Amino acid sequence: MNIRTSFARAVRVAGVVLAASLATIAAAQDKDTFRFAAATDLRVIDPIWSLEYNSRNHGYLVYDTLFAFDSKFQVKPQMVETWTVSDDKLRYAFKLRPGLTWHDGTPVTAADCVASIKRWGQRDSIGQALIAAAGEIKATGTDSFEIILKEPFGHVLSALAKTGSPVPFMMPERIAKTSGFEQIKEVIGSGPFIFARDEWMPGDKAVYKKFKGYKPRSEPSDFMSGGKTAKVERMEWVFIPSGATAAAALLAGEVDWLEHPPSDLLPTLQNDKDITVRAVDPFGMQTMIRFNHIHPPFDNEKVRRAVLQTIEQGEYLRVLSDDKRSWEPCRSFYFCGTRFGRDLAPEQLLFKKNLDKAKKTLAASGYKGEKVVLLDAVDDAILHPVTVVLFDNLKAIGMNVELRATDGATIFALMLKQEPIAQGGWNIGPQYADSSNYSVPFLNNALRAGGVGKASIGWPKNDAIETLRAAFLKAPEAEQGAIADKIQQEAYAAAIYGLTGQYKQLTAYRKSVEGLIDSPIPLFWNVSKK
Amino acid sequence: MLAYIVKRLLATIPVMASVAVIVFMLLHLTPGDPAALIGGDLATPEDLRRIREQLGLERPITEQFLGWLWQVLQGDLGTSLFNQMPVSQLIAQRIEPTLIIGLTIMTFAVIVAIPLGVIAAWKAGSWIDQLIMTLAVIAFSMPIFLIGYLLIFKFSVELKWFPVRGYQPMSAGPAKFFQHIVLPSLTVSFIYIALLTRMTRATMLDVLNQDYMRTARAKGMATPRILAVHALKNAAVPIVTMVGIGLSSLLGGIVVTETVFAIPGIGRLMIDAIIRRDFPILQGVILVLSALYVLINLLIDLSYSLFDPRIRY
Repeated sequence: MNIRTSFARAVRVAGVVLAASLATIAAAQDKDTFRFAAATDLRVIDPIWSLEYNSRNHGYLVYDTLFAFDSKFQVKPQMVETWTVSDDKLRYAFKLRPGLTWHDGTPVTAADCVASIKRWGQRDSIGQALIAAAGEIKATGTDSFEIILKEPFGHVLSALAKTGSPVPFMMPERIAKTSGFEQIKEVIGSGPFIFARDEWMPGDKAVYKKFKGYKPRSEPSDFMSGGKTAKVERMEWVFIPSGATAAAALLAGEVDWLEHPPSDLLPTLQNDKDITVRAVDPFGMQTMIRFNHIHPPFDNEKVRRAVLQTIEQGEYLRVLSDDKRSWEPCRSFYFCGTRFGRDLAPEQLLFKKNLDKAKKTLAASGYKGEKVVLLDAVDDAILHPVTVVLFDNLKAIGMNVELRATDGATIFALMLKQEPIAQGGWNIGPQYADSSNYSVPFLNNALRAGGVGKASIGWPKNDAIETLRAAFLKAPEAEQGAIADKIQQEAYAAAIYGLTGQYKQLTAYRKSVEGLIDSPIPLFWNVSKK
Repeated sequence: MLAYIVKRLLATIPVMASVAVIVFMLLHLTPGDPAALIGGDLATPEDLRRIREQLGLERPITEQFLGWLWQVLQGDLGTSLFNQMPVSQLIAQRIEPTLIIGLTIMTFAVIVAIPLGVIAAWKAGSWIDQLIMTLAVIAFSMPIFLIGYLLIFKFSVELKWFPVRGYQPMSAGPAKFFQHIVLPSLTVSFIYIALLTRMTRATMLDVLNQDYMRTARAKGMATPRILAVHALKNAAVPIVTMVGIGLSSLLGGIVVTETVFAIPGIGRLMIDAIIRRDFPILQGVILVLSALYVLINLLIDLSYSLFDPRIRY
């Protein structure tokens, strides 16, 4: 063997070793980074100030909660170690788990939690009710605090465990003292991941790093409760505006989990041996028809009923997906499959499309052909198809419908307008929601029926429902189901809004992903890559 | 020339001011309310008022405009209503990918299109000319997003030669940088190659039919020299104009490519801001883009004198 040959061989061996080392380093780095292609971009990092779903999802990475629901909707302690409730149910005393720290290294104190509850209570409806019912919320030590009630309130723990926006996330006192109507500028939580603010590029990506000081609970992870362990060093939320590009990124292995794959590419993704397609959210979304109750013609219950008589849920669900596995008719206002989600719809009135009957109901209602403004968010992949079906049905029963088609942001602003249609108002429009709030009678915004100032968009006024909602708040757990049922029956009778079915959004992820938690909210603790 | 440049730069001030006023007024007349998006469907009028107050949207529109103008004059483009980041920082993050990809597209288009246009003009009426023109029509007619997706599925998903999405700056390493700009640049290049080819052919045909071209040929000058030195130089002014206009329109119009390849560029920043009614971002982006347009036009005008000695400033 001459020197030249030896040298050439040495170079080749070195090259192979170097390439292998680089590949190993790259693979190790890749394994430690989880990439999630979110359906929407993270625009606001304060999950109390903003009620957007993605701000809440970001919150679950960074912050922790005092209590959390398990998969059976039982409230379980999270940051709280122990708690006691007085016999008269008016004094709740809490003790925090030892060793909890904020991302800046300072210990979590009871004063932090008190300030956080108060800030959340400024923005959240059940939080407002809790604050109103409470005589005092105070720290009684560095790791203990109390909520002392003036009147019974049956939902103290479930309010603190709630999953819908805004979630009562805990923040350091100095940050939590910011008004709920002012956005916080510093993201310091005590959750399993730290928000890497310097790497955040709105419209492109948000980065989270494992919080090494996080002390998970010892119980196994169960839905929102139990041990939350960050199993990857780095979590990247990327926003890919084009569905086709997002699907391509998943196929190419550039992202690990695609939250909302485009329905037309689902067969391609399903055929890939490395990809799993399924519904991670066990409940999905409900689409619904909201009426403006304060202006004619939908201030008239009979007119609203006529519209409900046009609803055949399959008709609305088919336009959202060809795949029958991804939707189910559901006639409960609280999402089928949830704790209160019972189907109590009176068969003779609802969910059987009967245009002749609807025409007769409309004729008997006194409707005289007044113009009906139907809102159409043309850039929304769920609302627009639903609007098209609704438009056809309204026309079919002889309503004088005018479609107001524009972008979703404009539609949302329009829906808050209380003026009559001559002054730019609206009459009817579809909406959708996930189960995080709508599965709880008191939190379901569309069921609020206190009229203008106390109800959500559409402003229905129904004293029976409001009385029941107030009773629900005070009721002990054993009585809550019966009250929830009565609220449903009143809502059906008064045609508060129309239910057009439950739609499960399929999600797609690479088979290398392990530990994904079934939930309406994308959760990242316990998630790892093979 | 210096006096001309100063005069042109001064002339941009009223242009920019007009753009600022029009943009501001148009945006505030557009329906849609950022406070509604933040407040959610349960927001009471009082909640919305408080959110608007915090965002500064409760003030009279003239007061908002004058406040914004004063900020801009001090070099501050404001803060995003949603993410609370300075608009100048957001623009700085986003302008680089758009500029780099825009310049790459135009460079590639110039390198390919001008020779093609010259050849087509030189061989006017022949099968070569017809082939080039047919390809140009096809390239111009293809939707950008279709080209983009075809390239992604072939070269990223199947062959895995290039990444599907994103942008990497030069600081991430030349290999990563080039990998990320190849497909987006190629996608849009087709259209600009087609445009420039047709433009070059038309202007070259005009020049080639001039008497001095016949004289050059009669004196026995070699064809390459006639085409490259005499003809192309005389056809350069409209071609340069086209390149400049193309680059200007690319900066604001690259949004489809940025969307297809998930590139965090200025076009997507602008579209996101429109959807969210994030007024400070929109105002800032449009102001910066207007300034760039003015600058590019000035550079085009100045370049004319390089090609045509009769033009003096």
